Amino acid sequence: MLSRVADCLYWMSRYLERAQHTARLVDVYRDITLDQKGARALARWRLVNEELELPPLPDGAQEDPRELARWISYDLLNESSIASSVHRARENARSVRELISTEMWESINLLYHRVRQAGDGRVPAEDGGASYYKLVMDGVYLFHGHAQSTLSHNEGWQFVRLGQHIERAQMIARQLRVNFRLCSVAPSNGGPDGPADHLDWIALMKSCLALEMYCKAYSPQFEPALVAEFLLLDAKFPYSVRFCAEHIRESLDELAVQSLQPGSKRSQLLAGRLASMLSYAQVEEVMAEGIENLLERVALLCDAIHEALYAEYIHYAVEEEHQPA
Amino acid sequence: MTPPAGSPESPTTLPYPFDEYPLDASSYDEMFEHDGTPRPHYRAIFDQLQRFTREQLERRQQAADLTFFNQGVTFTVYGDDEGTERIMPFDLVPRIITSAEWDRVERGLAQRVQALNLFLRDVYNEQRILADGIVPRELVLGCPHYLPQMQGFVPPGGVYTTVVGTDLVRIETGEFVVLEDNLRVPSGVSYMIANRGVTKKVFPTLFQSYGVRPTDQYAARLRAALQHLASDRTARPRIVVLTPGIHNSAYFEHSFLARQMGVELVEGSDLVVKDQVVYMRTTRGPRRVDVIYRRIDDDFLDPLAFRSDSMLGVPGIFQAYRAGNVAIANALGAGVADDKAVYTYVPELIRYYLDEEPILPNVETYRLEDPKERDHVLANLERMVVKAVGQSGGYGMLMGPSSTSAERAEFKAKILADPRGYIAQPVLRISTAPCFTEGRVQPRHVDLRPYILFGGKVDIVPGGLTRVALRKGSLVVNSSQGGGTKATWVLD
Repeated sequence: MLSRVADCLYWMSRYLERAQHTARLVDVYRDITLDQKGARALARWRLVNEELELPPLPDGAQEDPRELARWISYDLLNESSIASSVHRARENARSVRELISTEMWESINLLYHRVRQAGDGRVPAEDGGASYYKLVMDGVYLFHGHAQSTLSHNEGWQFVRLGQHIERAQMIARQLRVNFRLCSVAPSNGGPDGPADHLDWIALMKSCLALEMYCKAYSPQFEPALVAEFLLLDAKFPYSVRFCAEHIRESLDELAVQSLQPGSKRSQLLAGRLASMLSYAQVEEVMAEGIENLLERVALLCDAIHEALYAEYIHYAVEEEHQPA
Repeated sequence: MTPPAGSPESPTTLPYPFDEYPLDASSYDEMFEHDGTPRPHYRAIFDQLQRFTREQLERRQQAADLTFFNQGVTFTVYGDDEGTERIMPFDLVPRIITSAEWDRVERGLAQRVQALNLFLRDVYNEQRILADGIVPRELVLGCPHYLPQMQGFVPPGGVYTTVVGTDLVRIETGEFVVLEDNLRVPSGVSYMIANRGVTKKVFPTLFQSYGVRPTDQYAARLRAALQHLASDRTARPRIVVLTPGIHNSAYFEHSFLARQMGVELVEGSDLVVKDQVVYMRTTRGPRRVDVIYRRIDDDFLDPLAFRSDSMLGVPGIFQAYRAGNVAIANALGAGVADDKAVYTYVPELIRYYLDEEPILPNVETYRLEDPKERDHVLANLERMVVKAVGQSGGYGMLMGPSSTSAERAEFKAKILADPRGYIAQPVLRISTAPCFTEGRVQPRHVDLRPYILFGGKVDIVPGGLTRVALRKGSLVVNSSQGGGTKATWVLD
């Protein structure tokens, strides 16, 4: 397929993943801060902003939880807001409309129009925004449902999968990094930026759709080590970084096979490295060493995989490696 | 008081929905004779439409509109504040052409396209027609679309125009005449195809009982014509459709045709030229391209050869083309033959190259470089249509009868400053066709654009696009200026 098309499919998928994950995260935090006031609530929202690596509020904006939630959810000036992500996903889909199925296009187009209708969020919604977040999450699931069933599982589909899992891996890793940093804050510091408490763990788990599965696998007790094991190293849970890494590796292996060129590609090597790093890690060692080290390596590898992928399939120079057919 | 029935401006005594259908003796109506009798080939639809209530007709119109909306059959209007996508307005009453009428049109178009291709080959090579004084040398060589870079080159098979869209109108006598040829990037065929699908849904029984010549194979035939351009080099040429991108007004058509032909749709940035060979950038590495159906104007095709500020083109593609390593349809420089001043010589081209009399006449056209013709035109501007020779889409035009004296003064100045840049034609009373509008069937002016393919031989899909000026009394059919389309049925 055309490199430009692969590029569009990949980013369409990344933006959709970003939108739905952000929607869930914001929805969860909105819920848990409902009964919190002032500084503590604001601290949590700042946390969310950091987890999402979002640009700061524009100058002059009032930094309060409602405004932050609005900024993250609706504002198009925020390049990474839910609304912006949906807009960009749809733009990418529009460019490759003839390649995706009608069902896929209609579902993403519908989501886009609904998000547009929701406006800039300045008028508070009656339900606090719950229906907005739901429509985004549902819209993205619907899209992927169609993609799974109506897009031939060839190159295009692999790029969609790659976009989804690279974005997811990075988002989970970032969330873990922020939450575990809180952990390391000394317990005596009980102020607003205090250590992660029970509620923060619940928020983290819910935002990764992990709460129920975690409780089944372990217990309702939140031990940092067990959380790390589940969200970072679990082989079977879709929102674990390791699970994403396995899928990334599979997709890159498949793309390499289809490219009909001998030898391993750098993107495959890096993906293999990430997957095995996570499959062979043991949580006790990880915690002893300091989880932020592993998370740092995960983040760097994800970036490197993205770069390699682009260099091999999308932005390669025509003069170099390839022999023209 | 109502004027007597049968007089030029009176409504007829026809039943609903034709009860306010004015018959105008000064123009030809597709459906009705001057006395209000439906023409034989319209009889069935005349009867059928009477069996519907207004609500039923409106529902069918809405269903048709919804189909277009869902499929996204759109176009973009430049100059519109938002530059938004609009659904192409479609009128549900089909326009019907008899077998005999069409056969004549088909022969006339084939003749015309052959002559135009021979002309192009000649002016870019031996220039015999210029040496023989049939067409003024300066007219051709001074034409802005004449590309000196194409001198001395013959595209595969001598085919310069793989796709031609020729605009025909019917004059008062009912005869089809040629209004203009479009040899560069003619568009609209996707609407023709879409209309056919919709009309079959709106009037399925009628369609079947009439026996209408099929148009479904346009994409397959276009593909065959494109393949033909590379047939001497490879049995399985790789064809692409080159589009300026999603913001182009005809993007829907580019995407549609690519899909229907089963070929890639590419933008300039997807192509790269290496060693005078064109490749497209794929995830499996560069893949050689053999034929490009380009929907980008000559000027923007290659920043190294033409406009250097073009972001749409492919650097080096012209060299690859001249080296014979890639075929491009339509050929560069074809615009010299659809220049409106050169148009006036097409009958002579047919005689010169084919030794035949033209089957389809031109519209009477004044060449404004000639002082006598120019004076006549300037003295009668309010009865003329003045067109800039290099423009299309209905832009840069003066419609005499509906113009203001300020507009006429503006055009007079333009003509005097650049007589070679304009032609004038007397305003034609082009034919009207029945359209369902405001709850009734009303006459609106129409034209016809058949699409002529030229591969190994001339190949014309029956019918084409009927464009209709939706505004009452308007003679401008272009979509960019308030026009719509109708389905066209050529009978078996």
